[in-house]
Amino acid sequence: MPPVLMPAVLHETQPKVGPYGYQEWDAKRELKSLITKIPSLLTGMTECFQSDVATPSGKITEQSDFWKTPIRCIEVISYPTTENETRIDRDYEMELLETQRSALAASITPAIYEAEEDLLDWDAHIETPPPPRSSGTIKGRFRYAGPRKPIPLDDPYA
Amino acid sequence: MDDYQWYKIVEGDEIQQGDILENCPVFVLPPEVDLDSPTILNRIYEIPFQSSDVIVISQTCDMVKGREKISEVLLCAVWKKSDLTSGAMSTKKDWNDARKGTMPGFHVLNKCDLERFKRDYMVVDFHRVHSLPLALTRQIAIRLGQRIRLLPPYREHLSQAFARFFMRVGLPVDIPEF
Repeated sequence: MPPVLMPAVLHETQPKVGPYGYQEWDAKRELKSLITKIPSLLTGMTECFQSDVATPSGKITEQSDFWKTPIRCIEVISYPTTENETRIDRDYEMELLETQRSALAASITPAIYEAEEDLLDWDAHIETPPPPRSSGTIKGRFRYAGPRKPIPLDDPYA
Repeated sequence: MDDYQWYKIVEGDEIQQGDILENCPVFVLPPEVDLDSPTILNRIYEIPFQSSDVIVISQTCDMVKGREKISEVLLCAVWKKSDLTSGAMSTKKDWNDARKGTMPGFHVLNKCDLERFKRDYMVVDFHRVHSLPLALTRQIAIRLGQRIRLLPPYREHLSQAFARFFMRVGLPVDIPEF
């Protein structure tokens, strides 16, 4: 009887350096974005360790320590089918391919926890703003007007 | 449910928090201007300015005509969604994060469907603040003619978001994870 294929989480790697929350979150976001841009990762043998990703065409790695974020490693494990298995129309080859594909996709996804999704990204900013609609210069001379004085206000307690 | 409009069209020189001034000139003093130089009062400088869309952050009650309590108006840059094509706030995810409040440096404003003032979704950029003299801001508002004003409670929501960003405190030594 053919085996049933089940993806199972084996372990998660630990970062070498424990970055602070926002750094780790930024790194994971960048890594996730990088991975999705490289189709070769999804077509060949892929191995993940720390946050370095090895592909048939070479290893993608980053020097910076805070890139060493945990990666969830998944392995396909075979279990014997139960005696209750009654389906006769199963395409085991297709099931094997689909399981391999889903396990592969999962294995190159950084482990991002739901709680971390709520982290505040204080550092996000627009580095290069859109160009101004118009710009120019005015010519002028500076004039010293003396030290500023506070605006007199009505005393609410008077 | 009541129809809580986001914007209304206003004109005139009454400035309120939430007023959006499009193509408002903002001045950027060049770094080479040496304010301590003894010759600064004699030289003629070229002061660059840019036209930028800005939103009024100062409190309305501080800008009431005849009872002004401030002399400069605090403004923040506003970007239209279509303006941002690269970097931060160029992806759907960033816009969703900013909408949910997980990017405290930004505050998303709804699109405007008012006749003749149809505008895309906008984002207020708390990293880029400007100030202009209140009297000059009134003149600019008059020159602009009609403009859109963010309405309560959305303008208070904006004000609160600005305060949250401005009052942030970064701890040099954080408490480790339990």
